[in-house]
Amino acid sequence: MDLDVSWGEVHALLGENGAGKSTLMNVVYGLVRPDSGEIMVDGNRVEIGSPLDAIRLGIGMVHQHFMLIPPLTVAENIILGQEGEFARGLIDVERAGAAVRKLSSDYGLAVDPRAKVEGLSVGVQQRVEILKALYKGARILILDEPTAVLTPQEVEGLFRIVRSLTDEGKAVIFITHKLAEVMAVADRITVMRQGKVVDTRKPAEASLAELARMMVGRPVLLRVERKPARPGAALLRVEGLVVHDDRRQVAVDGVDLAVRAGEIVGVAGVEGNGQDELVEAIVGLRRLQAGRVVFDDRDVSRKSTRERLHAGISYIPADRHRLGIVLELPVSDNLVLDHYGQPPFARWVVRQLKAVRTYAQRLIKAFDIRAAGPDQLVSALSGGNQQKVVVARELSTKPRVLIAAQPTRGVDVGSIEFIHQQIVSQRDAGLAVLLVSSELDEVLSLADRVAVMYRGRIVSVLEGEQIERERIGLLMAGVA
Amino acid sequence: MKAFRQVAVLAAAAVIALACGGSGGGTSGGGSSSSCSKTYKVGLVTDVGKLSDKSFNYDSWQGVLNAQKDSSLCVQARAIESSTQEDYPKNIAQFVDQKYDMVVTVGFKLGDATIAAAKANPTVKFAMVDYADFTDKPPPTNLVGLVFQEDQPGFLAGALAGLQTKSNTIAYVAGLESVPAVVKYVKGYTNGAKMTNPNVKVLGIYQPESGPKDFNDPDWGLQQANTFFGQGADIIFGVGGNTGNGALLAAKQKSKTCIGVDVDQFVSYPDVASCLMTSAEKHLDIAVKQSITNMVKKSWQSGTLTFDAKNNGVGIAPYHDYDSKVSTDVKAKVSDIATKLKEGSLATGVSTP
Amino acid sequence: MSRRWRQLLISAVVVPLASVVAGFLVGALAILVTGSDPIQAYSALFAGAFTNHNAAAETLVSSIPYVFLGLGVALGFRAGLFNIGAEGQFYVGALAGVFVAFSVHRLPGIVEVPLALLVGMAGGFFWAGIAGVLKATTGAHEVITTIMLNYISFLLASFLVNTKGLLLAPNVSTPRTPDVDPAAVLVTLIPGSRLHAGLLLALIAVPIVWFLIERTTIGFRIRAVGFNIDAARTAGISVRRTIVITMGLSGALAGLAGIVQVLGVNKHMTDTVAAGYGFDAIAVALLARSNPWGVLPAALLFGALRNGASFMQLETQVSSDLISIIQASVIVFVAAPVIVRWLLRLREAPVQTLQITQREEVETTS
Repeated sequence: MDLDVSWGEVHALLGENGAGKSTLMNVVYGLVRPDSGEIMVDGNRVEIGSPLDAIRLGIGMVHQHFMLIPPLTVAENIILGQEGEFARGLIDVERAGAAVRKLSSDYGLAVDPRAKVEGLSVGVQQRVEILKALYKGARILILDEPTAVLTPQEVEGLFRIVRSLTDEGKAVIFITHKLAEVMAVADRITVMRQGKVVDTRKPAEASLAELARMMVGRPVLLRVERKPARPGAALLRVEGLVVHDDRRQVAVDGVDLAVRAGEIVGVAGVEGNGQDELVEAIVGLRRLQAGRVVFDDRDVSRKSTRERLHAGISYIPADRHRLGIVLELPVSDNLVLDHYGQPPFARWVVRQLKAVRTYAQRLIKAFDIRAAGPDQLVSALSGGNQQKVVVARELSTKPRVLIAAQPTRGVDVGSIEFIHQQIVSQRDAGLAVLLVSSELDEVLSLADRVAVMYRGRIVSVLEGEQIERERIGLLMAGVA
Repeated sequence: MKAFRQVAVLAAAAVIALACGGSGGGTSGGGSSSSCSKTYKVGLVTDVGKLSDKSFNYDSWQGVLNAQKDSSLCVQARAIESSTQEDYPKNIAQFVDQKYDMVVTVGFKLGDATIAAAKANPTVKFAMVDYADFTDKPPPTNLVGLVFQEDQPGFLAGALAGLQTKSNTIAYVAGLESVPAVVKYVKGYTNGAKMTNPNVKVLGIYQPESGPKDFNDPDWGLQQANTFFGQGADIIFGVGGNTGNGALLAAKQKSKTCIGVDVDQFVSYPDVASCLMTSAEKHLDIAVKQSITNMVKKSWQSGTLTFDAKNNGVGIAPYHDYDSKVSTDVKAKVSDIATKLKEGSLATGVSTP
Repeated sequence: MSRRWRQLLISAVVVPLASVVAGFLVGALAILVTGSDPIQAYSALFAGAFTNHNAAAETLVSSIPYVFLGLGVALGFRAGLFNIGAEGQFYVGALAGVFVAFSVHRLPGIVEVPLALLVGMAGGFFWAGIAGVLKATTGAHEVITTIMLNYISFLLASFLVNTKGLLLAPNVSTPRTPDVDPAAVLVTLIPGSRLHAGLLLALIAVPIVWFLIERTTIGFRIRAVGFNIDAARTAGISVRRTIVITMGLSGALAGLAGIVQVLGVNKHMTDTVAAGYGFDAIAVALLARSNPWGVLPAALLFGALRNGASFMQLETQVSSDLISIIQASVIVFVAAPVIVRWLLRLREAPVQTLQITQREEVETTS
């Protein structure tokens, strides 16, 4: 494959998970050796055997998972590796701080050099990573999935930073699988699929649908087609709910909400406004300070998570790796993670592995999970397929209520489409769905009603014509 | 497979490392000279204190080594250190299995195991150092218990302390009161001091807790000694393995005078040489060597073999660095008491069972 | 060979094996430094462990407690629990069991033996269960609590065994309990040796524990909690109950080791009966990579080292303490697979790492 990047441009590398974007960039950064081919900088052929070589050539990389040392300060993290310049025995904190401050003002990257990294938000940590690369003299900056962990506001900020970098004449390689982002930020877009470059375009010359088709290899529905909801009786109600967060501050502040059979209620809001705590309280993972959770006209507030799940509440947690799957277990075990002990998967305390495997095979097929088989470790699957494992598990137990938190976060376009279709078709079959998503597009395309959450309260519930992007955006910001 | 090749490389490195060091091997040289028609194999099993305990095991092992050095005895010696008391029977059995002629076991803790082994192996001779409580009467004929009259060296040490103290207060830090040897030392010490100095005050304490730290709690020993120094004592007698050693160390730190126990601690515990006036010795080496000699010379005696002042089985060690600090007059008095104990004209006043 | 099998072979066989080799190399260096010949020493070690009269049987005798204890510690590891308290649970199991075994009379062995074993296991379950409950309710780390419980059990055993009117037998030079009822003794398998029927129990225990971990719902909960405690809780698994049960089962195996040692080897109990077995067992479980089948060879290795040490000292006068150096180095290499992989130039990431982390356990509304 070939790829060329010019000074002063933002070059987006677009592709689904596993298309080879990250591998390519690891080659450029010297983490992986190429089997054949060459890399040229400014027309000269270069050998990049290690990240040190890459840094010497002015190539900097910001990884998807940050490489920062949490207990150290911003300045300490940035000068790490070159701390000798500020030290004669002890590190001259003042001078290091001044150097960092100058750098951050040069590029409009506001950070406090003396702040400890562990106390910073994800968006600011990312700025520190970028500063670290610039400090090492990066002229070519590789950003690997930089928006995956950011809120919409933080994404905006990142785009501004990227712009100011290219204005300085630096080159930025922006790796992502999100279509809207590349249209917003890129000067040129290279689409990759299965390790090959499909095409390189300018945003003006490409449409979203076309890019999506190039990525996935077939036409993609960007909007979910769905019939109007025919809601039935309220299956899930929360009444006067008050919940604390981990720091014992009020996170959910008196929420009332009802979800009826056959409808999707979307909860929109900027992350950190109590959505996580609300969801955890509903499924019994977080203690209620006040109020109650009613499922099918029964108060389940004092029931354990297990009892709630077995009664017919399904739960797709937001953080897949931490909460949704057990990476070290095979696909089959993950598909029965919350009903491993029930017949036919267990007889008394003895697990019936044959029944588990048969069931898993059925789900792998039905949900198009790309796995070598039920015995493959789920860690070997791509992110999208891991999420399909969670969705398949939660939708296959004949649930009556589905709590779906960020059901498509970090998932490729093809899988998003599939997951959305599954949720909608189950809704049509009478499932009550509570959808929590920080991607406004997802809420807009799926929800029949939208509840907007701001500072632990539901500030408004919108229906039908009321559901508009502008209006929700203002409510999310607490303005309206 | 690459991995296995690498293991092979590691293994090769191992062989080279081993080969290079091959010449270093040196165990205690055998005493069997060409004049020996038969070599007697003698094994020693330590208690958990180890050969390097600077006291009991060390001195008993010296006795075995002395027998080995004595070319007239034709002895070849080996030792096994016991890591836990569960190992005692197994370690004794190792020597029996290897057809050893005699097994020496150190310390009363090996008593049960030694008696059981002696009963099971009548052709092997067994000597127990410092233990002779036989439940069977008479005891097996291949078994001897080597015991000491600890009250005598204790008495000598006490007599010396009584003469030397300036504050008229002396002290002791002892091991377990349930061990008769410890009590005999202490009582002899007290009586000896009272004889030479009727006004002396004797402070002292036995280690109370029975557990893994019996005779092995130097921190406690040091603490107790410091307490006694605070109460005016200027001489301390440490009676009880490492616990007692702690008391000696305290004396050294506080520039007081100390008296060691069991062996000449000037040699075995040189750290405290500067405070050590003497040591109340039982000559474990002499006793052990004697029992080996009995075995080799076919003059084997079973039952209890008592070592006292008469057969030079007990005594006090040389003054070493304190030689100048003890007056000729005091030396003569102590020497006189030693002679009287040897002759039997003086008793320690401690009843011996 | 498929990639997965190759990975498995490396992590389960090659790395532990290489760690053992490396451990012996470090031991050889230590022998050299003390001026002895490592080849002679290791030959004697081998002879003392396997080829001498009764040596093989004695090695098996030493391996039996390691099997039970190793299984117990490994079981804890699978749930992410670091049970340092096996030594103490050994004591409590032995105490509870021996009390039954010397108190019963005139019952057939078929009743007395299982009764004593069960009571021993219950003792271990209870003792480790305390640490489990403390962790589940207050979040107290099991490493700390089991260490503290160790001290309590050592002193408890010492007190009971050394005190007249309690468990102390009359007229003995080393404090110990009375002998157990003859019918409660585990039969000797090879006449003239000390090899007892505990070996058969150990061999049965391995597949049972394997089955428990890999094939039962309890084992599934244990593994799920061990791999990903948050996902397990999210899936409705009661983390608290799993922690208590896992600690209890781990302790029950340690208690079983204790009472088997008493009924099989000593026929009575002393206050040093555990003899460090419980601490070594942590190393056994690590070397076995927490796999029940792996516990067998690891236990055999440690049994052989323990048993061969005294003959090595007899033959070459190399201190039996050397064994501790070998054991410790083996563990350093096992616990640091990175070093071994580097030595072997293996690039792959470790398949399994042991996580010791303090986790917050907040569960559902009560």
